[in-house]
Amino acid sequence: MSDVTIAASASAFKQLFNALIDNFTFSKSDSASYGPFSASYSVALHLEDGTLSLHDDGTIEIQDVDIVWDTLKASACFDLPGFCVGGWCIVPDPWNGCLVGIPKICIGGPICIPVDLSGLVSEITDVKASLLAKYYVDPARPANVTDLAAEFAGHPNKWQVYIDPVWVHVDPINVPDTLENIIENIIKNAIYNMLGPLPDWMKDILWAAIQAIGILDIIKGVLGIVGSIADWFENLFNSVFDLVGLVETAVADYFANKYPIYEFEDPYPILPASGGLIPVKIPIRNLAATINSHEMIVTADVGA
Amino acid sequence: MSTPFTQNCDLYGAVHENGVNKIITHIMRQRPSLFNYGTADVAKNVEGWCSKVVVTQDVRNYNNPIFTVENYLPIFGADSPPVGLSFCAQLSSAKIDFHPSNVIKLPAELTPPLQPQRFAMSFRICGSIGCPPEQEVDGIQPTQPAGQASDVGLKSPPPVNLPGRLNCFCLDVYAIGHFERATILGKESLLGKLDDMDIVDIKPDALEQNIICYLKTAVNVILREKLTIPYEKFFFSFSLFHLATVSLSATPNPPIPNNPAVEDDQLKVFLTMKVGP
Amino acid sequence: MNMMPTMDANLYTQIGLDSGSLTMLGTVVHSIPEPGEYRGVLHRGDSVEAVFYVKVDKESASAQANIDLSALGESSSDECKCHSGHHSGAHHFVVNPRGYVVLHVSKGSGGYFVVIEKAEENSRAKPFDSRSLQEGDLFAATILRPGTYSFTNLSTKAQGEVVVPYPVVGKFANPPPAPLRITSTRVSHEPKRIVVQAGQGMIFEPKVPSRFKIELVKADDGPSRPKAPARDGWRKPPSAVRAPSKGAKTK
Repeated sequence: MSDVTIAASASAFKQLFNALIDNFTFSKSDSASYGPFSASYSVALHLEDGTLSLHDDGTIEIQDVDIVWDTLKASACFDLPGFCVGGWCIVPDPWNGCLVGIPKICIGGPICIPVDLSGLVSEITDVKASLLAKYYVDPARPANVTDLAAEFAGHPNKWQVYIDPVWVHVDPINVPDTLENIIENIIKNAIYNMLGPLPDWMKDILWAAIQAIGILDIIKGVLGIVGSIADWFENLFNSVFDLVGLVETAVADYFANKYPIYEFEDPYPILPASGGLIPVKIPIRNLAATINSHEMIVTADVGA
Repeated sequence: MSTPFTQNCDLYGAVHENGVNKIITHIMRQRPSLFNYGTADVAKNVEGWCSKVVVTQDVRNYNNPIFTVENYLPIFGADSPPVGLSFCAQLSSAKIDFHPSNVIKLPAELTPPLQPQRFAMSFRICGSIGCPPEQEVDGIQPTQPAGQASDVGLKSPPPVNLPGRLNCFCLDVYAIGHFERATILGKESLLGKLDDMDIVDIKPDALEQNIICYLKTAVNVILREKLTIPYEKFFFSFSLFHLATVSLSATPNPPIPNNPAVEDDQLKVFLTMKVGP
Repeated sequence: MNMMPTMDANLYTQIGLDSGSLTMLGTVVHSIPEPGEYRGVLHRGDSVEAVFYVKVDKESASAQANIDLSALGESSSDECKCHSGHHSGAHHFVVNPRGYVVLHVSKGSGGYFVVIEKAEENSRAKPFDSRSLQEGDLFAATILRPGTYSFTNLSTKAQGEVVVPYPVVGKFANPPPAPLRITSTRVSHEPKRIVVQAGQGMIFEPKVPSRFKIELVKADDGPSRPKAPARDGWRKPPSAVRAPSKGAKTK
């Protein structure tokens, strides 16, 4: 039998899990070029809620954790085709159509379509994990010192218990179809921002020229969009940027390496330092952590 | 399937008597001044100690004392000058046995077998006074007795501490006790209490009873002052103690009849969690 | 062909065109039917900007040689302003005798004219001067700014009118409709009045030596836009100043 046994009920373990979820944050920005357009994104998220179940096979299952995207912004930038002058035929060729054509000058410039979906909620659908006990030796611990000296230097060793994921599944981000409705206004604003310094009549010419083709058709043409723009942005988030993969990796790494669900110093201080007397610390060995459907159990031995 | 530990509580902690005995050894080696007492001359004379003291390197590295230095034992009636004798008192070993008893064989005076929810302890206490040779006594220079009218304003003469040879003895002491919950220095803690004690081979009985009274009182006071265990320490700083949204308190009876419980060779504690601000 | 989108301000700040002083919205097309080596000089006002060579070659499959006058002027700015006899730093173009040289400006403020003559000494062929277009030459012009313009042949004084309506969403074609052709004779233009969409081409075909100038007569700024509401401004509070009382001492 182990010298020490600690057990936490499923509901107590849920409180530990809630603290784990509450402390998770993730943020990232990146950009890349994809041929006719470039895209960038900036995301930040936190987690909320979720259900937890403990199983007799020693595993924990976490489901339906909300991913709240505090920041979910993307921008696709490209050169607006706009409107061209010239390019028409000046001397026709009866056989080839045109013998001499006027060079074309296309009026346009780079525009960016900013999409801000901050506040959107998606989900970690499923995490399967078990508990893993690790012995941590602080890499900054001075060499060849006693455990007490290491503690005084602020670099004690530790026992740590992590939730070690077997898999993490995150739902793809679902861009609402209503994006299509607002995208036209977003583009109009982007174009008018680009045209800012132009006189009104020039802006109206370009706007009339763009409307003649159709804004959404122009955008779809440049970006190579076959379906809806909302679907395209969804694919941009989920596959091109692979935000889903990034979140899955970040969650797995956080659970497995960054946030122990339980940790304590080794040797463990059982009597504090007092009046110049050193603390009394007891070595702990063979720490193990298991799960069954009722509780989490930690066992350990007192070292000699 | 065995009954879950947390069947009737949210947090369960248990320490086996084997673990506690190892912990006692660690405490004795890292805080020796709690178990070794003597006058300054005895503390300095390692060879003369009644019992060898094993300490860790850290005790030496950080210049922690091995003995707690006490005043010399006064000779009653000697005041001109006052005279003191050196002494040495050491607790050289201690062991605990949780119910059911299978480590310590209790003497008949403690009515074995050990009752449920009780622990047994055995100690070895060694000590001696420093018995001064005659020539040291002959060398005392008496001074003017205190209390005369012309002594107003005069200081008391300095005490004379007589060196002496230690003639050590050791006593085997047995005790039975129980654990209680107590709030010590504002923290919910576990407190051990001795209920009864027996010292082997001391006569007459009244002398034994007086020594037992002193020892039992001393142990209970030291347990209360120095060796209470806050719940958080008992549970090795389990993470639940650090959550602002959770408060933990001892599980009441029912459903837990004994809390803390001394059973199955273990000391067990049961806590119930309350979630909320 | 310049396909990169640009917002060169000259596109919308230069109003009006002149075939003898080419800018971004004007192009001259010239045919050189006789094979040989030709030397062209790019002028801008009084200065010579660059020299180029055009080889008219029967074996060439090229039907048009696009000469970007702004690029010529830029690339020659760090090199010597070359004069007759100097080939270093010059540009070379090749075209079939049945093809055309297309003189255009892709960027910048323009203001160029070009003189092209046969490169051999003692040539008796009459040089081509883009300030005086001959029959067979073409001047292609595009107007962006809505309004009413006059177009004048400075050589013959014949005049005409171009109307460019204000663009209306839903009635604006993109790409613009096909260019309209205007024939310019000694006495008049045919047609005398045309209506073109902003960005739609006009091709001037001179029958006599011509220099075409297009000038804005009346701008069309479209429907009036609501003005920003006027501010109330600041007014002096009614009792801020009091008249001095009688008998008050003054310094």
